[in-house]
Amino acid sequence: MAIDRRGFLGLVAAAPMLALAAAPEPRFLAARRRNDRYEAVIVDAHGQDLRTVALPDRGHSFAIDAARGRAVAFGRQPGFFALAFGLETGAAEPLPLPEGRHFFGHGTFSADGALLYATENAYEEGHAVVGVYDASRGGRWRRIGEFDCAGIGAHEVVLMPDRRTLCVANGGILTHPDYGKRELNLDTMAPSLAYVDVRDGRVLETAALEPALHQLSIRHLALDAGGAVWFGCQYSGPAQDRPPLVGCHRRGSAPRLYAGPDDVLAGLRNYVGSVAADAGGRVIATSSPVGGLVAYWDSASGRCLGTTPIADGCGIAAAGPGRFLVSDGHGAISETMTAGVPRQVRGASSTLAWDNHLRRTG
Amino acid sequence: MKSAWSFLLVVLAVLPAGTVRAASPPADLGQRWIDGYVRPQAAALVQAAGAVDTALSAYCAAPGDAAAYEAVRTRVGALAQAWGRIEFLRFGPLVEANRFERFAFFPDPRGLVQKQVGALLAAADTAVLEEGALAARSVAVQGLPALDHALFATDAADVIGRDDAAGRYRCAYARAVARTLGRTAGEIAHGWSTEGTFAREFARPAAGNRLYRTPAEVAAEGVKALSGGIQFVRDIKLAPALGTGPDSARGQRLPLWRSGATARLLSGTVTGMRDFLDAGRLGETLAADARWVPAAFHDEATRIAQGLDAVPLPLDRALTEPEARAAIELAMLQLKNLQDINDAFLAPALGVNIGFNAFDGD
Repeated sequence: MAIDRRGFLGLVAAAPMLALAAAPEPRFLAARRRNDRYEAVIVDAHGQDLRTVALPDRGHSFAIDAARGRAVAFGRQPGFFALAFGLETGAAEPLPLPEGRHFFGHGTFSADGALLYATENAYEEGHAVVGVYDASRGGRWRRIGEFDCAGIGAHEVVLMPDRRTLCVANGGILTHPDYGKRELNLDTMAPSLAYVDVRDGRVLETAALEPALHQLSIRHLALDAGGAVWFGCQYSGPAQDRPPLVGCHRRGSAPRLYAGPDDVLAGLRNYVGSVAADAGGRVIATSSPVGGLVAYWDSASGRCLGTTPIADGCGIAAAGPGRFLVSDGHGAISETMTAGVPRQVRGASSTLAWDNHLRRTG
Repeated sequence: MKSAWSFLLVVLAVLPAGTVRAASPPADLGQRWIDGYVRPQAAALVQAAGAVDTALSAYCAAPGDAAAYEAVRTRVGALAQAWGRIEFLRFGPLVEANRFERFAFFPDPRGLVQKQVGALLAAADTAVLEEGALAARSVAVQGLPALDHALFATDAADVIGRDDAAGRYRCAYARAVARTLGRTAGEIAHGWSTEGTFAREFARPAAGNRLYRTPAEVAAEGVKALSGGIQFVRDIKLAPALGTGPDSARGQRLPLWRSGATARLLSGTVTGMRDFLDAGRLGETLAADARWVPAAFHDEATRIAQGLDAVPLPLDRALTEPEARAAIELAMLQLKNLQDINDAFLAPALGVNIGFNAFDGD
């Protein structure tokens, strides 16, 4: 994959120079299967385990409150657990789950850490909600309410830079836990992005793709340096179709989709499993475990910057400006840039598989 | 039967996954599958749908005739079996234009078929009776489950037998469904014909193809279809209805329980998967230590189908009768075994490696 090296260096130079020398060693959080057990793991930048927390079932992603040294692990959908734990202590406390709801696997804290928001399936009614939990000291993770998110099959949720709006990826796929993740509405899918005001749960704006792309499930999100929402999609239509899989949305405008070069789009195999911005928010990385490929995008122009082949690679997080850490289903963790060969910082293992997401804890 | 099954479990227990050596799949594997299995089955599906319409035409002319009604039931059972034999090929022509959902919308935890077919019958909307009109309506009102409901719901025979406006409309609607099924089957057959791009690529994988570039990709599609097909029978069709015991069984969760065609549908899928695999004639090309695998799949599938066919009651009633229920519980175990043969032995024997994240994305 060719890359415009000058353009890339320019991007790196333009990224705000963080106080790299003084910054604490970055840490990352991921779910994994080790032998037949599921756990959440904090690793360092070399992919080495620092702490593990046992999970009751297969995990997915996390809400992270770095300022208060804690995180919540969510069960993979249909997820019937969420577990809060201390990043330093590992002390864990399960969240309650109301009747008729299960977790979709993603969540985020409010800016002040007082509340936790989690995407959930109201599966008898057949629509998605954001569950709101008391995350204050002594709040015991009580579920204090829920917001409707104007869609079905919500997946990732992020807090916008204004600190009071949630952006929810409504994947559009109806599921019921009796049938696992089986799609129940492929013919009528209607994915969207929904912006929800956390003060009153009002849906401020929804953004949908054109009708011809109604089977393009919007699932994973990341914010770029300018506060725009980047999203990665999974296509539920025929494999021979080649819809664009990556897009960007700014409030008040229509979503823009970026297909990239034909070979990159073909290589992603109609599937993006995770989206992350680099440390400067200038490069967006999208992983496809199905295609064994990570693709990078310039957040300013939407141009594809390059790709890295990583078999079953899915978890992805910023390692620095223009640099990422990628975890894979074969147990390895690699450092990648928008070009060049990935550098494995942790080798593969036959007993270990990293799950979909890798999150930087601060 | 039981001793042979126990023997197979022993074989699996002493051969951990990955002990078979990988061999390249035959270059013409896709052609073998198409010629030896898919095309004849697609043609049989078209024919079976036509036979339902023919039987319905006789029954609708003599609405109270019990023998004509039973002849319809027999034809619907045969159509269910023909569909079972093709539904596991859930890629290409079956997923294009929502054909899978149009032919057999299932699972349906929210009871859409009952609601929508009920509403249509109540409204007696003659517009849907016009040639081709039903295909453009909801998937819930144009497939096998709609036929099952319209013809075999508790009051259906009485309504039709009264030979009044409601009865005549119901008969005409059932015929429209049968003809729509015939059309959808025709589309599937066309998609797999020599004229279709999809079938051409599947039969002759090549570097310039959009979808299948190597025989390994064709093999992977087949192995995934078998794995998904087994899972659909076991986890989606049987498990939710089975419950934990006779008291918690929910026979109305089974597909096509009203017509009593459930067993034929399920055994159709199991024998279909067996015959599909056989049509690949893989034995000769696999490594010596893996040649037992297709034979083991064949034998286990035969046992499962024979067991299901031998259940003396319609499956929805069998779930609450201890002896008949035991046969279904045995089938559940055997299906798990069949899945192990496929995923842990057949896949690696063909060099198919489906990653942890890629296999079951989110």
